[in-house]
Amino acid sequence: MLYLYTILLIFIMILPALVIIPQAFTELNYFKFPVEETSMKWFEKFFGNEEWIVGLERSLVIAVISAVVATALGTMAALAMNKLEFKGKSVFMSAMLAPMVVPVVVVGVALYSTFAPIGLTNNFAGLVFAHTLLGIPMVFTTMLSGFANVNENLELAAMSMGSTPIGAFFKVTLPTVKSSLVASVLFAFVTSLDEVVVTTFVSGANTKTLTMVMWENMRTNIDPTLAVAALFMIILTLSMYIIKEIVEARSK
Amino acid sequence: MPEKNRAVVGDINANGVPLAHKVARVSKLKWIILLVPLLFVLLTLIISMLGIIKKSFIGADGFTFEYYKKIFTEPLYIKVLFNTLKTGVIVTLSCLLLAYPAAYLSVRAKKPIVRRLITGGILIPYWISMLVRIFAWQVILQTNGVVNQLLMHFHIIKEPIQLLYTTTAVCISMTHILLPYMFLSLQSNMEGIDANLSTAAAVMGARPARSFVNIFLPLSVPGIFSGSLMVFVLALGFYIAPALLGGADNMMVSNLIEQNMNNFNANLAAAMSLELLVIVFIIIGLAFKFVGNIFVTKK
Repeated sequence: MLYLYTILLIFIMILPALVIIPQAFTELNYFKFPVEETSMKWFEKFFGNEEWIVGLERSLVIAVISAVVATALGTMAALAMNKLEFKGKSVFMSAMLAPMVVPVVVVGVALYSTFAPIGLTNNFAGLVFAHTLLGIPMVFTTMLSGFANVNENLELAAMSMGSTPIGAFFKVTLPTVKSSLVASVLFAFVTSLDEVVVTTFVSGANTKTLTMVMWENMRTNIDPTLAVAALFMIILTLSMYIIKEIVEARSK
Repeated sequence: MPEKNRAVVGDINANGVPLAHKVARVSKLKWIILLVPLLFVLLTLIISMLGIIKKSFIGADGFTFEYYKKIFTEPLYIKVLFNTLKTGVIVTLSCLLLAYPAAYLSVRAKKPIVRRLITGGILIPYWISMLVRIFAWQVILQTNGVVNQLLMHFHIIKEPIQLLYTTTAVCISMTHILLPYMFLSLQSNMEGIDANLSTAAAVMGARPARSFVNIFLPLSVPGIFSGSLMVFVLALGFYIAPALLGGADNMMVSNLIEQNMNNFNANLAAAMSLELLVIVFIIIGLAFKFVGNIFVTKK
């Protein structure tokens, strides 16, 4: 019974993706189940429209930059929690978690009111800042549990062998948290790639990401081009999941 | 960690340099790892948040409570707030009821592979773009979508029923999105429950149902609490799902904030943002008191 239920639940959880993928290959101008005649015309439409292509490229560039920066900042913060003794640790932790805890719309309103007067709205750098901010708590929580598993004796051993503390960190600590580090980058990458709400406030006509183009189309004209965009998003995000699983399996 | 194996910072290493000395050398530098991320979050988010707090109290003639008065007296604002809380409760309960049996099975499964498969299956959607999943529900729930086609095929209904732009649509997609959080929360708590207790109960003659109700269920309450509070808090801030799948009656606080921003009522939007934030903080505070930090998984 319980098994049957669980299988059904997993099926329903995956159903939306299963329904949407074939729609990218439909012949029709609307969504029909199942897809009877296939064609590539919606792919042609997707690649023929500059808005989609530019949006996809922009999304990828922003996601890569903000994932790298967020990973650096979030790892530093987790390390500070782990290695440093200072007053107000819980305040520091709250600040690092804030971008995840504060509702996204509030983050959007807040960033807009700061970014608009200094020209960071409808601006590439502004988007990178916003996405980096949202990635930090993802990295922070992942690295926090990663560092919790590090054996301090190994670092001390390395230092007693003549390594500097910084050298010990890069040679001993970092390799042991490699899988957490990879997971962090991927989490931050997907967070940026999939971001809609804060982006609606911070981006503008010149800085539309793929999700912004999708969002606008979902509100006004739903056609199978959206299914093509959705297919690319599914491929991108699921491959991140697969990479993460492979890295974790290998490090065991 | 056995204390005697631990190298002490005061130890002298092979070269005769005390470890403490080496650690001390980076003492100035090490604060960089604290300051850089802190400064980034301060300059982007924290300062902006202070800005909107100020904005919510400052009107054309200086200090004012008019925005707060408006959001707590105008029927539209009260209705939207009530609807947000209601949606949060429905979604939290649905997630709990749906995820509990699966989480239970995953920790009770004898083979590790079963556990991995269940966890993987539940978490796959977590890695599929949220916007894509909401788009998929838009397609599935439309008048000639999968659900209506199935119901008509089995002659449960004669005419297609309106699913899109209803509370049902919003709740289905939100439950779909938030269920993995609930699952993980329940699972991490259930892992800590000693399986021997149930075995002992069985040995003493308790039926499985009774041993579940008297032993397993009470012990899983902390997981239920932390999972529910987390899902509820996340549900309160939802924006995309009600905007795309809900009708005018399904507006949530986030949507009204965005609408006010678009209509150049930034002060009202600021006051509502603060209202939402205070509710969220109260719940997180309550959660912290009873079950600890719900946003950091304990390992």
